[in-house]
Amino acid sequence: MIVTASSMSATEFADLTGWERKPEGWCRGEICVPMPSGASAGTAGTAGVSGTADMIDVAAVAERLGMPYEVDHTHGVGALGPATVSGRALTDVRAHWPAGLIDRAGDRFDASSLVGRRIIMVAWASW
Amino acid sequence: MALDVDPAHAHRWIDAAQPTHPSLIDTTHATGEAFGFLNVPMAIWIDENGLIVRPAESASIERSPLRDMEIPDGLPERMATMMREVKAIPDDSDLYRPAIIDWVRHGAASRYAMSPAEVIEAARPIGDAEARAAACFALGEHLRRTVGDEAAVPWWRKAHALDPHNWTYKRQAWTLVTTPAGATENDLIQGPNEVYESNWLDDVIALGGGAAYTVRPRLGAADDARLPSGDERDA
Repeated sequence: MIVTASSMSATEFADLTGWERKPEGWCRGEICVPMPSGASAGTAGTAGVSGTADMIDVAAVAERLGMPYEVDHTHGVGALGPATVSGRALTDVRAHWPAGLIDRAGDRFDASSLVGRRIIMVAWASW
Repeated sequence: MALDVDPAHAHRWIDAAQPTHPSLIDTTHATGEAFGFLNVPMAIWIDENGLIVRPAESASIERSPLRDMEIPDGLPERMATMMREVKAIPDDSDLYRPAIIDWVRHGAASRYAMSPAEVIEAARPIGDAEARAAACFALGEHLRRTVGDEAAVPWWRKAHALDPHNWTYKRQAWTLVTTPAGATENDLIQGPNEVYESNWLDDVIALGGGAAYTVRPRLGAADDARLPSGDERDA
């Protein structure tokens, strides 16, 4: 998951990772990770783990969720790895459908079109 | 779901198959990261409610002729060794195919549909190393696309080192440097090269050989796989 700025909106973070900010913490599906309160909640004009307005500190939230954050300083871009709080691969696609999937024509695929169907997702490759 | 950083590499195969089902391309290997695909072909099963009822596992439905091919005399030793390792890769197609059919027919009543607890237990563990490898691979893919091939290499080397059992990161990277310019298909041999210290054969051997190359599906005893389930049991 590519990150190009040190802060982003909570909405954008949710779209990217599937983790949403809720009153009980950062949640994806049935898993929630509590947020710290007080100083780490962020101050006016800055983002924190809890964030002000809709902005969050990506590194702080990622650390909370056990998400590695690798940064290429030469090119000014980073990437988040999957959250390790559950310790396992995703088991429920209702929580998050991976982004960026395209069809043969190059168009983004609407995963909602599969809702209600039984699916076997087969990973293959040209290599 | 083609795990190909260059969608054009998948096109000819999709076109040849003429699928009637959705045939997608995952250029960032996001599904591998999310669902635990370590190699191809692997599959997950998702029920009508969006729950995964079988985690990522090897998904062969037809025994490859390579398994039974005689190794010709006179082959270069490295090629002969490669063929021996390929022949040693487990094949569970005779169990996996009927399991699919059973689930198609019986859904949640199928013995092959796992409970949530079983899926969690069987799903691939993701620790810090595996998660960091995913981040490194994603960064490399992004840099390859936006900066150039060389920008990806250090990040893909790191991904390989962090998660050596993830063959999707390795095979994807290797084929991009071992496939000759102008080739119509990606190289599958993925031999020694000047970009990565690793290659297919040496890494396979180092990690336990062909016998350890796949995540075998947990389908129970061979006899059980051929018994009917659901309604057919009571017929």
